[in-house]
Parts: sequence; C-alpha cells; structure tokens
Amino acid sequence: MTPSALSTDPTQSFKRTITGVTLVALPVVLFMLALMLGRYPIGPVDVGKALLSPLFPDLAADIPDVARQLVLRIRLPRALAALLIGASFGGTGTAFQAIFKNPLVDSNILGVTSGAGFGAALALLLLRDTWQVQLFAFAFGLLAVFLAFFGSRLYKSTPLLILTLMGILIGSLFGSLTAMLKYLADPLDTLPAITFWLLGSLTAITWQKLSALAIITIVGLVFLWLVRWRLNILSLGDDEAKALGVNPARMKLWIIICSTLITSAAVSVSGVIGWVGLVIPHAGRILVGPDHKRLMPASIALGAAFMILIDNIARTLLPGEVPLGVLTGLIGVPILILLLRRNRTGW
Amino acid sequence: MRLGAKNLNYGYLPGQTVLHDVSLNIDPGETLYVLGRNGSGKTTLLACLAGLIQPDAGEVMIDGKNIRTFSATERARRIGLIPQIHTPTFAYTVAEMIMMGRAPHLGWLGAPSQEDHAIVDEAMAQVGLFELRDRPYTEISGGEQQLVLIARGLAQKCRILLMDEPTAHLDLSNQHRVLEIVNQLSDQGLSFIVSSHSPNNALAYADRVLLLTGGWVSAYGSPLETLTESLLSSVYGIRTEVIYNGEGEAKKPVAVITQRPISLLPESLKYPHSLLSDVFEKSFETPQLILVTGLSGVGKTTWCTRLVDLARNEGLTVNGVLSPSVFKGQRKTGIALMDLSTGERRQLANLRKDDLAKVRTPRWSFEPQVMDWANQVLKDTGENDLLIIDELGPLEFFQNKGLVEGLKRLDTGRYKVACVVVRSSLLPNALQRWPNAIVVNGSTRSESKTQP
Amino acid sequence: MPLSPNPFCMKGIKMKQRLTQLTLLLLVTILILTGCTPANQATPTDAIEAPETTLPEEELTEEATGPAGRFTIQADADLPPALTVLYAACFPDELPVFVDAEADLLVTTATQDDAFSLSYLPATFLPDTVLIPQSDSFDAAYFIAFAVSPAGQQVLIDIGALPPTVTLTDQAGNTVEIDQPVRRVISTYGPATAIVYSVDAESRLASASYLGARDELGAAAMERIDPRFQDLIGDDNFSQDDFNLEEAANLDPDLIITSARTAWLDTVGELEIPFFLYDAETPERLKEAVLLTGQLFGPNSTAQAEAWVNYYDWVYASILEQTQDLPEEERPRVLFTGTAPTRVASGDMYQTSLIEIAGGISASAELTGYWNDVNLEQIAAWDPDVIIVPPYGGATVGAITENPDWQILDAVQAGRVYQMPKLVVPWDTPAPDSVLGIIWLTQRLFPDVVTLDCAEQAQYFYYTYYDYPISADEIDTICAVD
Repeated sequence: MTPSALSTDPTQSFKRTITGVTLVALPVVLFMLALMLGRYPIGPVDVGKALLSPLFPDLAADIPDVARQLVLRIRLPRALAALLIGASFGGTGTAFQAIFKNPLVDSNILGVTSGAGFGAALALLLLRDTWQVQLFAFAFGLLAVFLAFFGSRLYKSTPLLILTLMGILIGSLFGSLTAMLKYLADPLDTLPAITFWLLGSLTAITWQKLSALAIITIVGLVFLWLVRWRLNILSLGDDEAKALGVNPARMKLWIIICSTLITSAAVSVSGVIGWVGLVIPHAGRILVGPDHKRLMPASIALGAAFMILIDNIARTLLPGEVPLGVLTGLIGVPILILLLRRNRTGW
Repeated sequence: MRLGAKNLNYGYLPGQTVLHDVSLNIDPGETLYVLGRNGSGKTTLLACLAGLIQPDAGEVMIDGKNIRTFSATERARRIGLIPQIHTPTFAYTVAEMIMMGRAPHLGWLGAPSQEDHAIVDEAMAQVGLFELRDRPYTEISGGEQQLVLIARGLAQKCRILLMDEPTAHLDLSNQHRVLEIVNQLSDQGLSFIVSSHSPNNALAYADRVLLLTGGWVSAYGSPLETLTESLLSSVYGIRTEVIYNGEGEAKKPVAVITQRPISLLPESLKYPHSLLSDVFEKSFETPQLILVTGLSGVGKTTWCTRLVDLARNEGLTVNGVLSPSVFKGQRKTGIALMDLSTGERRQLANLRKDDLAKVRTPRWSFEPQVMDWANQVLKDTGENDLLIIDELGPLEFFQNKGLVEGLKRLDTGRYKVACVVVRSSLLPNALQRWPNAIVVNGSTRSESKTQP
Repeated sequence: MPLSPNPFCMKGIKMKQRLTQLTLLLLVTILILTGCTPANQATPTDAIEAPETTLPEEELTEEATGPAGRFTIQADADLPPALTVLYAACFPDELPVFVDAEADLLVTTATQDDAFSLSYLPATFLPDTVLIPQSDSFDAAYFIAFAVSPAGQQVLIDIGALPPTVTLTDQAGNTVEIDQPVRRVISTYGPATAIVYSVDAESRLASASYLGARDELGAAAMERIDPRFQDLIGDDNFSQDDFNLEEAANLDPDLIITSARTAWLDTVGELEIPFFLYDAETPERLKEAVLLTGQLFGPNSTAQAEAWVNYYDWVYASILEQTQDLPEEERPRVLFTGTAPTRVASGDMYQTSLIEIAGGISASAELTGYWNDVNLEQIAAWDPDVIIVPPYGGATVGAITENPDWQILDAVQAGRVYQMPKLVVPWDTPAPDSVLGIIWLTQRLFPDVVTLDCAEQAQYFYYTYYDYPISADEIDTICAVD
C-alpha cells in the first residue's frame, strides 16, 4: 500500500502551495494598495501613520488631519467593504453552482439581487437617500428568495429545474417592477439616484453600515467555508448524496438561507453587482480545480481581490465615480479570457 | 452483515405499484443478481434496499434491525449504492470522487483528514486505479469510471454494496474487468446486489438470482433453479436455450443463448423426424403450442392454411378459426373469419371509420356477433389433433376481448397441438404467458431459410 | 397502397373556408363601424376678449375724467390715429380726448432708464412707444391693459401699426413664422414658463409646466404671484416626454413653447401649431431666449425682455467692476452640489457659469456632462471654500454639515455651506430669476467687496418682472445671511 500523501507528485504539490499562497496574499496586497490610492494624494508612509494613529495618536501629529480622516473614515471602511462583498459573491456563487449542478449559475439565481434592486428603488422613490434604502434592499432581497423557494414547493418534489425556473421568474418579476419604478420616478432627481444605485457603488460606506455587513458576511462565509467539502457531494445530485448519507434537502436549504443572507446584505450596501458570482468560481476552478475543499477558499479570496481591484479603479480613475457594475464586466472579461487560455479543459 | 427485505411494496403514484411483495435476503460475501425487463422495478428495488425511498409496505432490515431506525449516516456506513456511470457537472479527479465516499464518516462540517486520504488510497489500490488518481473523472474510460464508483463504495466502508446495472455502456473487456473485481471483493466478504440485463453475467458471477417481472418476484434462487428456459421466457418474453455443463448433481448452466423464431415449412410435416412431426408426437403426452409469428402481411395465415391442408392430408383432425384477409384490389379492407370444421366464413372486421364500434382496435372495428360466433366455435370444438387460432392480437392481450375462448383454452391447456398466430410485436406477451411455446417464423414469402 | 381520404384533411379544408369567411366578415364590420363613427368635435373655446389685470394695491377710485370722455390723453404727434382706433375698440363707439398737458395718460417714446429703481416698467404698445399713467384713473389703467393685450395688439395689426406675423429663429435653429397676436400658448418647459412671466405675457398661457412649484412653499408663492396658477398646471397632459394631442387640441393654442430636447416634437408637428424651441444652458443663451420670447408676444413683451437683459448686463458689469482686480487666490472655490451631497455640477452646467460670473471658481469645473457622482475623497482633493446646496431634490445644508465624515472639509468647518434660495423658480436654474442667484452668490462670496444687496434686488426683480410685491418676510427667508 502506498503511503498516503496529498499528492504523489512533488512538483504538483509545490505548484499547489504557490497557488494557495498567492490566492491568500492577493486580497491582502490589493487591500494595502487600496489604502494608498485615492484622488486625494497621501503618501504610503502617511497612510501607515494614519492607520496606526488610533493606537498611537502621536504618530499622526505631522500629517494633515484631512489625510488621517480620509484614510480612517473613507478609505479603510470602503476597502474592507469591498473585500467582504467580493468574498460574499465569490463564496455564494461557488455554493450555488454546486447545489444547482450548473456552472452557469450566479449568486442571483434565486432573484436576491433583483429583489434587492427593487427594494432600493422603492425606498428611493418613496423616501430619500437614507438608511432605509439599505433596509428595504435587504428585506426585498430576502423576500425574493422566499418567494422563489416556496413557489417551487408548490410542486411536490423540488427538483432543481423547478427551483431554478422559479428563481428566474421571480428575478424577472422584480426586474420588471424595478423598471416600472424607474418609469414613475422623477427623471430629474429620483431616476438618476435609482440608476446610480442599481449600477453599484461603495461611495456611501460608513463604519456603521460596514459593521452590520461584516457580522452577517463573516458568519455566513464561515458556514460556507465549513461545509465546503460537502458541496462536492451535493454537486453529484440528490440521489447520490442520499446514498452517501447526506440529507440533500436540508443541507441545500441551509446553504440557500446562508447565501441569501450574505448576498442580500452585500447588495443592500453596494447596489447591484452581477457577474462576479458567476465568473469568480470559474476562475477558481481554473486555478485550483473543482474540489470545493480548495475551491471555496479560492473563490472567496479571488472574489475579495477582484472586488477591491474594481473598487480601486472605480474611485480613482476619474474624478467622478465609475459605477461598479460597469467595471466588473469590462475588467473581468479580459481576465477570464486570459485564464481560459491557460488550457485547462472542463470545469 | 445480513441484509433482508420482507414484503416490500412500493408505488411512485397511488395506484401504480411498482414493487409487489418482494422479499429477499443476502449473506455476507454473497452476490445476488436481480434480473428483469426495463421497468420491472429493479432500480426501485435497489433504491428501497438502500433506504433512499420508503416502501409503502414491508421493511428492509440489516442484521434484523429495520433500516428506518438508522440515521442516514449510519445507513450509509452499512449500505452503499453504486449508480450507473454518468457525467458529473464538474471534472473532479479520481481521488476526489473516491474521497466523497468518506461522507458518511465525516460530520456536517468536516473535511477529509489524513486518515481519510489513506482509506481512499487503499480503495484505489484495491480496484487497481492508483495510477489514475489525479486524472479527471470525465477523461477516463467507462470501465474505469465504474471502478472509481466501486472504489467510492469501498471508501465508504460499507459491507453491502448495491450496483445499478454496472455493465451497461461498457464494452466486453471493461465489463469483464469490473465484474472480476466485484467477484474478488465478494470473496473478501463484501455482499453485492447487482441489477443486470445479462443472464450470462448472472450465470458467471451470481450466487443467487432474483427474477422480477412487472414488480413481482418470478423466481428467487440459485442460477440453476432460476435461469431456466421457461422462466427466462416468462420474464423476458423470448425463447432462450440454456447450455449446461456436467450431469446430475454437478449440472451447471454456463450460457444462455437467445433463440430466434424457427423457420420451417408446413410441408415438413410429411417427414417423419422433422420438428413438426416430433411436435405432434409429443402432443400425446403434453399439449404443444406453436406460435406462428411475423410482421403484418408476411403470410402467417397462409402458413396456417397450408398446415391445415397438410394435416388433413395426413389424416389429422383440424379445428379452430382462420382469419383470411379481405382485399379490395391491393388493399386489405377487412378480415374474414372461417370456421375450420364447417368451412363457414363470415366478415369479422372492417376498417374502422368512426369511434362508435364497441369492439375495436386502432385500425379495425369488429362485428360483435361474428366475434361471439367465433368464440362459440372455439368453445365448442373438442380436442382434436390440431387447433388453429388465427389470430390473437391487441384485443386479446390488452383488452381481454375478442377471441377470449381461445385464450381460455390455451391457458387451461385444452388442446393437443395448437397453432396460434401472433404478430411479432406481441410475441413477448405471448411467451410471457405461455413460456414453453415453440416459436415459428410464419413468413411464407422467403423460401430460402428452411429448417427441416 | 393508396390511403383513404384523410377525414382530418377534409375537415381542414372546411375549416379554412370558414375562417376566411369569418375574417372577411370581421373586416367589413370594422370598416362600417369606423366609417360611421362621428368625428371628434373640438369643443369651442371662448376667446378671451378682455385681459385680467393685476391692479396696483392702491384703492380703485372713479376719478372725474375732465371735460368729456373717461380720461385725457397727451400723445406725441403721430400717435392719435392709432390711439383713436384702440380707444374705440376698448370703449365701443367712444372717442378719446386729447389734451396737451395734465393728462391722465401720457403716450410717448420710451426712454432708457438706467436707474433700475423701484417702479414697474411702463407698458409698451408700439415699438418704443410707452403709455405712462399720470393719475389714478381706473379707465386709463384699463385702457393701458387693453392696449398691450392680444386684443389690443390685434387692433394695431389691423391698422398696420404692428406686423401680422413675426419670423424668428428659435434656439434649435428653426426659423418659425408666428402669427400675431399669440393669444394662447402652451409651455411644457419650466424655464420657458418663467421667461413668459418675466416678459409679462403670462395672461396668454393656456397651460404651463412650472419650475419649482411642486413643493408646498413654491406652490404657495406661485399661487400668490398668479392666482390662475393651479388651473394652468398642465403637467398631467404635457411634459418633456409626453404630449397629449387631444388635450392640446382642446386648448386651441396658437403656439407651443418647449425645450429643444423634447421627445415628442415630431408628433406635435401633426397639429400644425407652430412651436418654438428653447436651449438655454448658458447665460448668453438665456439672454437670447428672453429676447426671443419678448418678440413672440408683442411690443410690450419685447420691451420687458430688453429691460431684463439690460438689468442682467448691469448686474454683471457691477460685479465685474468690483471683483476683476482680485487675484485668483482670493477667489473662493465653490462646489455646487446636487440632489445628494456627492452629486456635483459639472463644468458644462449653468451653475458653473453662475459661480464664475459671481466671481468665484467652480471646484468641479473639470467634470463634464450633467450632474456627476463623485466621492468624498475627490471633494477633499478639490478642497472647496464654499459649498452650495440646491433648493430642490430634498437637498439640505444639514445633510452636509451634520455628517461627521464631511467635517474634514474646511468649508464645513468654517460653516460656509449655503442653500441657494428660491421663491418659486430656483435661482440657479437658467431662468430670469437666476440673475438673483448671481447677486446672492456674489454677496456670499465677497461680502466686503460687492455692494449689490440681495434683498434690495429681489424686491426690484419680483415687482418688475413678476408684478409681485414680495413681502418683507419672504425676503428675510430667502435672502437671509446666516
């Protein structure tokens, strides 16, 4: 009997370690970069001083207060939010692709993003730019998934097809409702607000919003990380999963609940950002393979890195804010094409 | 670990029972083959045994304990289900696929440890796949894929493995490879229940065989007891020939060959040791049934007519009914019925023009009075040397209407030699009903394939 | 073997025949029905003969009018014929009484008034010819109102004193010939409506879209300015995107004025009503728009328009004189925000011109297009000295000053966050009221240098151009220096 080893091939093991280290390092490096980039010029040393100033107040004595405040109150929460949101999309996209056995599925498959978009548009139409927008978005995101899930329960069994279909239907429904709200909105001031929100942006991040987001996201991602290996089993199908002693219905339910909560929280803060949940898992598979034991952390890391990269560009490229939804596709597609050309076949 | 099933009943929909009263048991190290036609309930049975579905009645037990009392994980540690190979969505490597078998041993939130990796490696080695460990599952051959699934079952550490048609889609060499490994594992103490389409595989590898027909158990026992020509005929609706080795106590079946309908001419009756003559000889002891079969229009009725004439020439008494076709030009527009004893002829069926006929098939509508007259003929006629029934069709087999008296006589054996015309599509139904019938090719168009 | 005729085939043919018959029947029915439908009758509208006048707040007294007739007129040489015809039309079968001095009504050539004092502009009924009331005669006032009304204009056209049509090139480049007088006009563009009020042609509005009159205070103020306001609001039927042709036909307009960026221009062409397009996003274009509007509505409006332009130029010149020597460092950087604190005006917008005329520098001038969304860091990089919040879209000063993140800006710490005022029309929009916006802003930016006073100028403006004597309370609210 050959002694056990993670791999018998030492070069492959080495490659895996390198990939792993890079994937973990990437978001961290980009995070550091994010703190140093911005329309207001602040040198790296000053950034460092500003970061340490809550612990060592004297350090910040020689930097302008504006700079310090910008780093701590504007850049830092924003960068953290980008990390969390990117991680959310990466993780939930991976989870959904596994349980739906479909590599073309996005975090939005059950309609959570569309529902959240509608909720935000409704709040912007009825109220103003207040915290209620976030709450409405979160609530309607959950509602959309609730409707999709229990709509599919109308059929005695819950085959994936029915669930996917209900998700698409509910998503379209909320999409149409959002379009209707846009039509009703005052074109001079509410409509631009709705459009901007729907395209996605992290301008309005505050420490308060961030803390709410962080709690939900971290708890959710921890859960997804813990069940990551089970996703392999679920991706084989309900029958095989049952034969392997797993309760697929219950497990899928928990995963859907968890993913919906974190996606809804993310979207309620950032606006509608699609595409990330669909493509990051693919990038992950190309880099580390389909085993969810490695894929889940990879996707989370890649998602976080990608989001921070996008946000950096969004807020520094032009004096105006470039919406995130605009950039995710523009930048993501070439990256994915580059990855695809690295000749790994299959998913 | 003994697996037993008692009186399993299951229906996917109320009123549509798929399994009727199925009981079996299996000892450690035993290989049980489940044979049956498509839709006879093999997959459902395996699903019940694996605990995936709950039977409507009856129970499945492991070592005497109902499997319902086990949790899903405990159950999965004892019984494994190895499905047919299919393409998974994601291209896991062989090692990753086998690792999934460790699921029942890990908690909800567990991930595989070093020990699990060791078990996986061992399972891989047992089936001989270690070299393929990092190859994507989607890129290996069908046989190797099946072996991977078996290895997964081994990694699951269950003592009982259920295999759903493991050799479907496999070429001869892969089939052999898989089944040999199964056999060796079985020698090591694992029990296998294998659903299969191949009686020959059952002959080669099974300790016991369960035959399922329409959800009912037709036979359950050793291959010698269960794989007989008549049982196979009743299960599959085809005539087979079983080849045996050895004599008496040591007699062992070694191969099952399917038989084609015999091509013979009615004229062969004239020859003393022809098959037909032998049939008439045997009819003194047991009733002999000849099924004359073929597609529509090949000449089955003509064949029977010729036989009637020849038989009468030989001095045999002939009774029964013939149904010659009525033509208008080139087209068959009706079916006539002829009483062979009196020669009387009546129009039995016409092309169906409307939906009002009481007795009808998609193509024909039958005159009820003529049908009644035909039944009367069949009922009244005594046991002559040769009874002709032309023909038994969908009316008789599916609606239980039409020449019901003919069916009765055949079922009860009230004949010496009966020659029954049955079209090709209904031949399996006929053979399932009368498994010992001789099947003759009723084609009178081609004279080349003759067999005295 | 040939098959029997397929029964379904036969049925199919029969069905086809029946279907064809049904279709033909249906078509014939439709034709008959449409032919018999009575054509929509346009409901006749009443022509307005006598204009409503906003009378000064003095008591109306019936004065004795002199030897004979209602009041006396002192007119320059060639004017009596025109005046006689007008008088006869105004007071049927009566003749005016002309005197050489001490008349109730003085009719003479207009003079250039540089003082911009608190008085309302005299009515101009022929080019450069004004009617100046010398007494409190009610009939004289009535006569003046008649003279500048469409009816009066019509009379003058009939005698050839005024042209029957006016040919103008609108701001989209179209040359339009418009029959005079324009009695009924539909305005679907808020700024255009404001201009119509400013050139004293509001009585001719049949339906209008109002800028800044959706909120409670704005609506109330507009109500005070024009009691007809609630009846004139036409936003349900007419807007930038939508134009209800039938409602328009019911109103029987002579002219439609709207923005050049309107969506429905092609469909309205079907009505064969002339329309006039506005595209005034810069001060120069605004002045042009005002002058053109004046010419649309006759000599009085023309004169009023010219007066406004002169006023504007005077304001501009005053500010320039007082600020042109200031070096750039002393010019405050002004950030104009929009409906959200991080939504700011671009360099192409009117608000930037406003800032520059007021002597400041627009902090967001590098942006292009319309309103831009930026982030706080960018604003910090711009480091504005003053932040302006608009009086619409729910924007408040508090949203900026009470937000802890914004404290990093000098402007917020110094308390220099102000809200642009409005009475009805916001003072930062390209409408005549924006001249007050310039004055208000320059007073904020250079309180020690510029001598123009918001309160004083607001009083003059609203009295002269909106015929509205703005109250002291209102002035305090909008011109408050906090």
